[in-house]
Amino acid sequence: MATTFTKIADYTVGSGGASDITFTTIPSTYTDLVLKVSLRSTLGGDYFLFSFNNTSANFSSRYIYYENTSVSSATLARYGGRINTTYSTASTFANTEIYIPNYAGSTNKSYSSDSVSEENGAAAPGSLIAGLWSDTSAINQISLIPSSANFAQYSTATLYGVKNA
Amino acid sequence: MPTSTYEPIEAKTLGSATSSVTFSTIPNTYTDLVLVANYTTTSANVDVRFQVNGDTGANYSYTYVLGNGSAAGSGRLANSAYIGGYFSVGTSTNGNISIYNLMNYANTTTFKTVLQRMSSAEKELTANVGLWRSTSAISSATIYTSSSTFTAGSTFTLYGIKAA
Repeated sequence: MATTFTKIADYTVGSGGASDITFTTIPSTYTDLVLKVSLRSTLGGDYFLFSFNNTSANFSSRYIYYENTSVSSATLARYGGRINTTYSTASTFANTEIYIPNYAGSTNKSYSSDSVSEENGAAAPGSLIAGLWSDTSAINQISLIPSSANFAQYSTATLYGVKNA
Repeated sequence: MPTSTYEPIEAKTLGSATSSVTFSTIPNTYTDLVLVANYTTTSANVDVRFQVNGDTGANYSYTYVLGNGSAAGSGRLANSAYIGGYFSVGTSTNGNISIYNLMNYANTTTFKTVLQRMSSAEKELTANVGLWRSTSAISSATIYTSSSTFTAGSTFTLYGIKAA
């Protein structure tokens, strides 16, 4: 029986950190992509951005942001999700799942992201994101870039392909 | 070879516009279901709603959080004829995403809970939890628009997940 949910690649940040996490040569043979990440920053940058196919152009997103007792909504192009910072409780990482349907099709690409950063501290924001890459190209490369500094050691990212048949 | 646990049950790609998409005769052999929809609509500002087993009665309720890029809010609706709503997709040029998680859908003991995420980068996004007040196993699922239609090319896929 064909496998429906398949790991394409995974990445673990080593000592010294990483300025980005990039998945290249993504095959076009799946229906959807799922990206599961667990991230921490080496400094204060508390969110990450996307680039697809090595471009940061033509992105948009709107999101819900919640923290402690407040909730708000705003827009931020390329927004992917949260990162725990170097100031967060030790050994805590923010977790995000991103779903990209029909990533290899010929229409503009949408994505849905759910991100949390609980750390038993003063602030533990979460985000729900609706994103769009206004480009009809098939996605063959995905990069995650921290808003500042680098991803810290032990940050992980795994890319899965989902087949609908 | 390991046993497959995440399997496509049925995939639909619309050949023409339609106002509702139904997955019928869902087997009861899985533990959980995941329904992924990627769609555009013929008109803007329509609501996308969810029902199961053809039940159009006031047997649903849901609570949601919503954001449109400038304001966030939450609400709930009890004794509703559907789950969802309050999600108004944007113009029909960019795909919207709806993901439904139905855990333990085939049991005949408990009411059924649905977790929804709905995303339109052009309009708004929501996270909903819905309840269908029936102990029946879910055997069909319908996604439909309050008005207008889903456009040709929209895709809807139902997956089953096995716990063992």
